[in-house]
Amino acid sequence: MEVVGDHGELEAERLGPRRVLDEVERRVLLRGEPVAERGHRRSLPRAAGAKPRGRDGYDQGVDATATLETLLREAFPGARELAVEDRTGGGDHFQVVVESDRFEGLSLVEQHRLVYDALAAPLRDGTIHELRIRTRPTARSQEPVDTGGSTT
Amino acid sequence: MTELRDQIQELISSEQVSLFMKGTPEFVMCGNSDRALRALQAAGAPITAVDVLPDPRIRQELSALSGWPTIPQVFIRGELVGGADIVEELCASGELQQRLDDALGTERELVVRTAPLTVSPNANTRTTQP
Repeated sequence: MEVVGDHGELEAERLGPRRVLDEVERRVLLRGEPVAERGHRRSLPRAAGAKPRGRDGYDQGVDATATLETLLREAFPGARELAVEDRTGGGDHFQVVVESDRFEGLSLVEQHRLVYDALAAPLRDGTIHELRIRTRPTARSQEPVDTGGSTT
Repeated sequence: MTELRDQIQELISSEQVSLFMKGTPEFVMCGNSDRALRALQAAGAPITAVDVLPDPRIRQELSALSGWPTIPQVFIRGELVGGADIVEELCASGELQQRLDDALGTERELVVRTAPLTVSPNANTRTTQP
């Protein structure tokens, strides 16, 4: 892939070191939750008006969260869990969670590559400024995720 | 001067653990690079860090090589491990440490160093070679 998704924002500076650490801790804690209960999260539509059309011919900007969800649903039909969260409300920092049988037998790198492939267009045109990915094969869905990180 | 892509490939292949990040371990410029760095440190990795910020071509060449669109990127002995989410997840499950043990042995030198890349002022005019 020639074009690189941009993570250019100076997040550590913006949030401060303490805030970054809190975010890491929060994510570790979240691992214990059954993902299905977190449900679908959508940002509110940001502004009324005509939808700008992206270079790649998909709706862009007005509700990028919905756009990402549509692309993921096309790539992972029948996904047991599929959620797109706008982490900051700004419409460009996203966390996606996908549970699909397409991930069966794949390494995490291969699983994330499938997500990147599905979201290639918004990655390419800068709609996605930051992307966090959580994937799992459907077969593991009944098992709580063992993070190994919460010992006493 | 060696082609930038060759430099990156050489570095990925020769270093035990390479971390392509925004900023340096001393001054991390992105929360995701920070997550990857912390996970590697927690797993006891000898880290060779490369700052991609000095020139956008570093990131372009890296992603062309790895086929991975985002930063950070972590490699163990030339193999792409993943970005911040994967490294963090593998660290939490203990798998990252296991992979480091398998690839590098359990007696690891816990160092964090930086490896600068030499970027020519005008690499766009580089000569094309077969």
